[in-house]
Amino acid sequence: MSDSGNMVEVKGLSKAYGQRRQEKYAVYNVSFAICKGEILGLVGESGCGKSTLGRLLLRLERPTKGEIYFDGQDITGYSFTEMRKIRDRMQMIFQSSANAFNPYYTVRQIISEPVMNYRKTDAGERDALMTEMLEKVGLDSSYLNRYSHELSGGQRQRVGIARALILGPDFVVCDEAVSSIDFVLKKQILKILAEQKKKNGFTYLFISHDMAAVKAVCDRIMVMYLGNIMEILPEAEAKALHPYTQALLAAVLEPDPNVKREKKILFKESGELAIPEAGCVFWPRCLYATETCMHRSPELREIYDGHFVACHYMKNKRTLEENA
Amino acid sequence: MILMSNTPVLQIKNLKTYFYSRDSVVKAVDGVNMEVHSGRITALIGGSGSGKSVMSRSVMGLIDKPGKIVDGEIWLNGRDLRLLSEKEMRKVRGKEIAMIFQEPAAAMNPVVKIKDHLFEAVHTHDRKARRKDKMPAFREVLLGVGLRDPDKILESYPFELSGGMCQRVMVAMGIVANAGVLIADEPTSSLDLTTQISILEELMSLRDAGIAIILITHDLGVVAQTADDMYVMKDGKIIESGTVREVFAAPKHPYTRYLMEPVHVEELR
Amino acid sequence: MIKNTGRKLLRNKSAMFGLMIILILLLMGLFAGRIASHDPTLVDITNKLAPSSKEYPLGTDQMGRCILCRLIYGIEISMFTAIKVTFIILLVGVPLGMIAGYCGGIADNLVMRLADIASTFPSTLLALAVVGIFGPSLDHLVLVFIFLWWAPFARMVRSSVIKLKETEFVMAAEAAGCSRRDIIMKHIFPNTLSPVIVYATLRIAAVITHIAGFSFIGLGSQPPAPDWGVMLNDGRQYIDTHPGMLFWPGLAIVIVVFAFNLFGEGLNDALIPAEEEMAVVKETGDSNE
Repeated sequence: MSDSGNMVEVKGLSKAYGQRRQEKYAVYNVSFAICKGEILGLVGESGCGKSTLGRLLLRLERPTKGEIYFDGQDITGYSFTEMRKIRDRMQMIFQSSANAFNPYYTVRQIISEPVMNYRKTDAGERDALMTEMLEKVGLDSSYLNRYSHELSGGQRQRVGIARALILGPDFVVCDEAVSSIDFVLKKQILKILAEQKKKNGFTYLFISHDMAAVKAVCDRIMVMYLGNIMEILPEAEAKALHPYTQALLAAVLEPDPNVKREKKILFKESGELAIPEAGCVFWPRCLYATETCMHRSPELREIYDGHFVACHYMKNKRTLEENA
Repeated sequence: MILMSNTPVLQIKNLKTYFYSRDSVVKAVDGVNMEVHSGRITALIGGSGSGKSVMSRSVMGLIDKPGKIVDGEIWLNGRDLRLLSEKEMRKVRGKEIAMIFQEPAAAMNPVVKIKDHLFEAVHTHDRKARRKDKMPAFREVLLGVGLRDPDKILESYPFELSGGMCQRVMVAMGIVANAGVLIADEPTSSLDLTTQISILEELMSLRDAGIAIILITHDLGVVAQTADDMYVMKDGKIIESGTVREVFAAPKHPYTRYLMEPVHVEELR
Repeated sequence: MIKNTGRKLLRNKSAMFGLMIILILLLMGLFAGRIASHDPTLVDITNKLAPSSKEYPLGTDQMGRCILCRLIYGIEISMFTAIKVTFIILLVGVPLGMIAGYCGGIADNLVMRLADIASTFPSTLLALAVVGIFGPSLDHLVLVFIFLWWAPFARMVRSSVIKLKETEFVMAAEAAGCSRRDIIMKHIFPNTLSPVIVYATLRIAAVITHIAGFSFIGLGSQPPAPDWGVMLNDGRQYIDTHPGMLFWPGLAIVIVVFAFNLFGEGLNDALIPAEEEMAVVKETGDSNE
């Protein structure tokens, strides 16, 4: 069993899609824990399985293998009805795509839905609650009667946040909550999330491909590549050790013309991302790959306190630096 | 470095593009002045709804009802594009100005092979060109934009390629069109970080080859690392402009300053 | 969404024109007994093949029956029947499609195989067979139509349900703790409706032509019923001398079908966003015709 300090813990979690013969793993043998009250960042390129992982944690998808614990309970095998009983404690903020809301619903219907499902309230109480929530995310009650297509991208994103936070959940998965919006809104939304966490002690899984945003709000950062965890950084500013994390960080563009990027590209380019038949999933693109990497897949090992890396050359940190 | 000429290749004067609905007028672009020089990347930066995309479409002559260019001049190579007929404008597009879109896959006809897309780009300005003669040149261009297997790519359809590859093909189309001005509308917003870098590097090498590039983006990092000049747009107006170094060193407008201040979420931890 | 749809529809002149014709015809059909001054089946041989007159605006047929009155009574047979048939088709097809799409697995397989069977039958052949066994009657025809035409609706609904199941808002509904019934009835079902309504409107027109067609060849309504198809058949022998007998029922069919098509396409424009426009109709439409 997981210890009580963890909000969420997963062990050997895998999710495969497709028919028996041509299974494709979106998430492969993933184990980690999210402590209560922390923001865990999950980064990776599109198609690396990070959204699938987020949905698995909330059991919006059924895992192929592995175990999921939520606040100490094993929820892996929970039925739809059993999950319903605890869904008020876990929520998800979806990417603000056009499909994030039922097109026939007004903001009032969108936000009141979770409340009606879990709290006994009358219309007046609900309206007061919703108005309060909307104000927290920087909107007001005049938005209640609008349809989602009448909102701008940033307003929609905030309605999504209001829907997720209105029940005061313990655990929130933010799936690309700031990725498709412009910088002004990005700042506002990051602030809202951070404030809510500070006030209410929420635990977040913050999924994004935006390294800058992740570094700004997260306590720890987990890096995924093709369904596998490559590295877990114990803090946002920790030095990246895995070649893939280094490549990702090198790709972040500093908003300062005086800081010129030194290294250009730290990985090999490949047209399509495919899981290699054997070895480390990253070897086809890794600049340091050797024979070993092509045949044996590395385990995720703790290098320093809380710093996990899945790379053969992490036993000896120098090896990598010399190679570089 | 290419010597910077003092006369801009593209000059926009007091451009106004309005959108009319039954009961209101949206001034998407409202009196914009802008100069674009060869061999430089000019960034146009602004939040969503600031009018930056409408502005680029106005230059390309791609504004449809209910939108209308109400006023202003668009000078390209000594001609005012606003005075050209649709037929003349079609020749200008592709030959003198090319455009790269945010969603490359959506901008390409899915049932037309890449080689035909490239040929189309050539054909608009070179009617005599023959497909067969152009193939070696296409291969070279595709290699140039970082696509390693040009023969396979030429025979592919857009949907068979990843987003990053499609965007490279778009850049390649911009190159074979041999246009002096390239408008890149959020070319990397839908791409991953690692892909973004390599596309931006392609754009920079085009700049070094003497092409004028308008880079539309909402990402300050992209501007700081790639652009030479920048214009900040808000509510259809240019509120600040200058070289990237100047503006970043001393932003004058409060909105620009707001954009540039880093995310201070640390204190909320 | 709903507001917009209504406004778009109201602004669409041809759709409104179609709707007006439909409504007028429906009212005429409803009050046929009051409007029509003659019994549509009353034979009056002395007055047969009369030309247009004040009493018989469109003249009489070979049995001396008022053509206009027969046309008005015919509305009930063709339009009312077609609407009823389409409604039943919806009642069968939509729930089956929902079940297939939402449950997947065996239920999906079963429903889809049934749909395959239904859509492989040639409609004329099946109609002939049924009529051959049970005797010619409109009721038998109606059963054939229902048996054949629930399938495209089920397919349409199934494919939109499968797409909707993966959308974020359906997942969000589950995350918000909605029951299965709420997810299906509030989130999935309303969002499958637009293409279904459009297609159903167009389908009504198709049913009308089919009823008339089968009645024309004697497999549907039986004389002396004032069915437009039957009237066309009656008129066939008099085409040289009294073309009106053929012309008026023909015109009635054309107008009705035209009206439903106009209205259907207007609905399509209003209900379905621009990108998907007409795609639904093109994909599934008119494959059985």
